[in-house]
Order: sequence, then structure tokens, then C-alpha cells
Amino acid sequence: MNAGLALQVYMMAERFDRALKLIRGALADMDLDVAVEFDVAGNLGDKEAEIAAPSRILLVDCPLLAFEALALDRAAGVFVPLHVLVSAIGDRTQVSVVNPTALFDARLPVGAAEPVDRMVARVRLALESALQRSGANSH
Amino acid sequence: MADEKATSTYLIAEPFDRAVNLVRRVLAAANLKIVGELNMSGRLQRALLIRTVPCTVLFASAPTSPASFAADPQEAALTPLHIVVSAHGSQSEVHVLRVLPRHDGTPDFRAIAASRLLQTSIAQAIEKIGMRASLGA
Repeated sequence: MNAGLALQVYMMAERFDRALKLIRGALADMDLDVAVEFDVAGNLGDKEAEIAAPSRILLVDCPLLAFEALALDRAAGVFVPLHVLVSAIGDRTQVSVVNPTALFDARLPVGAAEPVDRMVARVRLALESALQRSGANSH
Repeated sequence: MADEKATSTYLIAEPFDRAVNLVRRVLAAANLKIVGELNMSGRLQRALLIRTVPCTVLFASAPTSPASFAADPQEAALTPLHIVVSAHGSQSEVHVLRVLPRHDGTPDFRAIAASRLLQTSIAQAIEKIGMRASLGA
């Protein structure tokens, strides 16, 4: 698989805290939940991030799609919830989301592919909505 | 074509709650950090009023972060790695990602290479308490 296709990066013309608020709102509007959240410097010990700028990983899912993904094989939990990286870059905020199932040439747990793909699509729609609210662009 | 499974499954001959504690213990002994966990079955029951078999996701990372996510956002997709523990009758299953070597001749992305190291450490730790199920490749 092509990891380049798996990665989507957005740049929001908002400061970190405001961008995070917009993202949370957009995710909620799409019935997506932030199930767990990590502060990159605090939880994961990324010392460069500690010095440079605030950064968080939001673990995002939709309970119904998570249930679908895990229904036949709990191994799908390896891919769900999805990781959304939110990082401050000066006065702007970069948001990255990866479709983890697209990173590898490997057979996914039974029944996981479609709900995970739908979850990724929904997350991307939510981020694009947040982007429109911030009036910025993506690349 | 995707012939190999994306995940590895280990069987632990212990009930769920005990298996979760065992997994926590062997990961700690291997100097791996559990940075969080998610009670997936409890979450689904609260949100959907559907009972599923007990299932918890442990989020593991290396003791020191190998690099900055700012330099490689893809690394955040794989860090922390998910370790899924679920009940399987009176026993338990543990599922972890298999970070497979690429066969198409392209170089590894740094994120994937770093995750492979972490995945290897996790697999070695879990093999101390569980038996690997068939790969089914």
C-alpha cells in the first residue's frame, strides 16, 4: 500500500487551542467521539515537542462503526480508535490523520475494512468541516 | 495481494481480568510504557446498550520517544500501539499489530520502522505469557 495516500494533512489558520475546539465540535457534529487523548509531550515523552509546541493525539471513533469493526474479530481494535494528530506550528495548527489500514500490505481482521474506511472518511469530512470554519486550506 | 494477516493473536490460559493484569505486568517488565487504556466493551455498552465480550485496549509506547511527531506525522498513526485484550470463553486473547516488512522494494517509512521495533518488544513480552495462535497466512 502507499502510505502517501494513507496520510492526509490539513493546515488550519487558527491557534492550537482554538483549532482544537473547532476540531472537537466538527467531530461531534459527525457523531464521532474522542475516546482517549494524549498530550504528546506529557504522555508520550516527545521531548522535541515539549520544547517546540503543543501537540496532541486524539483517538477518535464512532461507537456504531467501532462495534461493526469489532463484531466478528476483536483484533480490529488494533486499528480503532483512529489517531488524529493536532500540532501547533507557530500561529497555525497542523492536523494529520492516517488510515492505518492503508499503511500495510496485509489482510485485515474479518469485517474490519469497511467500517474502518467509513470511519476514516467521516473523520476526514469532520476535519474538512473544521477547516472551512477556520477559513484555511489543506495540502 | 494481502496474504499475511495484519495482526497477531496470542492465547492466554487465564480469564480476562487476570490476563489484562498479566499483560500490563509483562509490558512493564519489558520497559514498555502503557500510556492509557480504553474499556472498549464498556464503552460500546454505554453508547449502544449492546453487551459484547469484555475487551480492553492498552496503548503502549517505547520508554523514550524515538523521534518527534512534528517531523513525521505518520508516526502518530502508529504510536501508541494498540494492544487488544479480549475474553475468549474462560481464556483470553491478545491482538497486536504485525508491522510487516515491505515486499515491494520501497524503503520503510521511518514511522513504520520505529513501530516495528516497538511491536517486536511487545510481541516478545506477550510470548512470555501467551501462545501464538495460527498466523493463517
